[in-house]
Amino acid sequence: MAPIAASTDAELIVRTLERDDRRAFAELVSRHQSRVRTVLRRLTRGDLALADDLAQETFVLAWRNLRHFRFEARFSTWIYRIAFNAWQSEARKKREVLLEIDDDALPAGSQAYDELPDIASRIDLERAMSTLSDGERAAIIACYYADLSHEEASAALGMPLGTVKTHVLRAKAKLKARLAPKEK
Amino acid sequence: MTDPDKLERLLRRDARSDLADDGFTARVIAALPAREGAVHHAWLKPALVLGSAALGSALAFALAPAGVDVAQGFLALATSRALTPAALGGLVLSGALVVCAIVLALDTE
Repeated sequence: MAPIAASTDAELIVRTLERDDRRAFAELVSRHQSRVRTVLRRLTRGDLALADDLAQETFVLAWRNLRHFRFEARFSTWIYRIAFNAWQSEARKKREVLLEIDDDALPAGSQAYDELPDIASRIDLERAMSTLSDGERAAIIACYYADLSHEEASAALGMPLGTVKTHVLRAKAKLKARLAPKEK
Repeated sequence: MTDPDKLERLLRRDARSDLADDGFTARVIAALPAREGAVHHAWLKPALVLGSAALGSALAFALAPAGVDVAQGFLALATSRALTPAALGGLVLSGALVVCAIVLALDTE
């Protein structure tokens, strides 16, 4: 059998299931933690502690339900779905999830990111993202950060396909406006 | 923003940003519960189901009040002399029991 580090995700899953191998699962977590935590950080509007708690919950749920993974989709797609569900459950608990509410009132503009160093443009992007409604933010994160298709995002978020497409378009328009250079 | 691709590039670049593990994986592994019905004990369930079915069939056969008739029925069936109602009933019940046991044994959920 291939060494853990050289194994594919599918091989690691099989190894985890067949041998109850926590080292194999640890490799899966290690491979995907960065993207999952980034997705959750964006979803929670930069609440790092909450995002990491939800990320941990996501991987524990994945461990519990790993035998239900069907190998028809990528492991990353499956784990993002769990992450979105964890975020939505948490948000419902806090009564913060307002997926259908738009937030058209954008804060004051920011500098153009084109000329800014990478870290600054990311901060600008993070701020711009936090001005989106929950639905818009979830849709754009699903499609661009989790790399889901519109159909997959629709299933993962429990939103109609048309709503996902609308949210993505509106979110992109808002982000472009928010990140556009200030005009005098 | 004049270039519509710039936003997409920025989003994708942000998505690919590499977060240091900082002990996250270790915390997840420490939080994992013991797996119920781990696969290395996967033989246990089918063995219990099929064993119970076999034991139940044997006990039913041995202790049934009409055991003699059923036994005679099976004997007649085995020797192709006659298919008595008792033998037929026993055969159907045994078959159903075995099918149920196999279905339960194969059910991994």
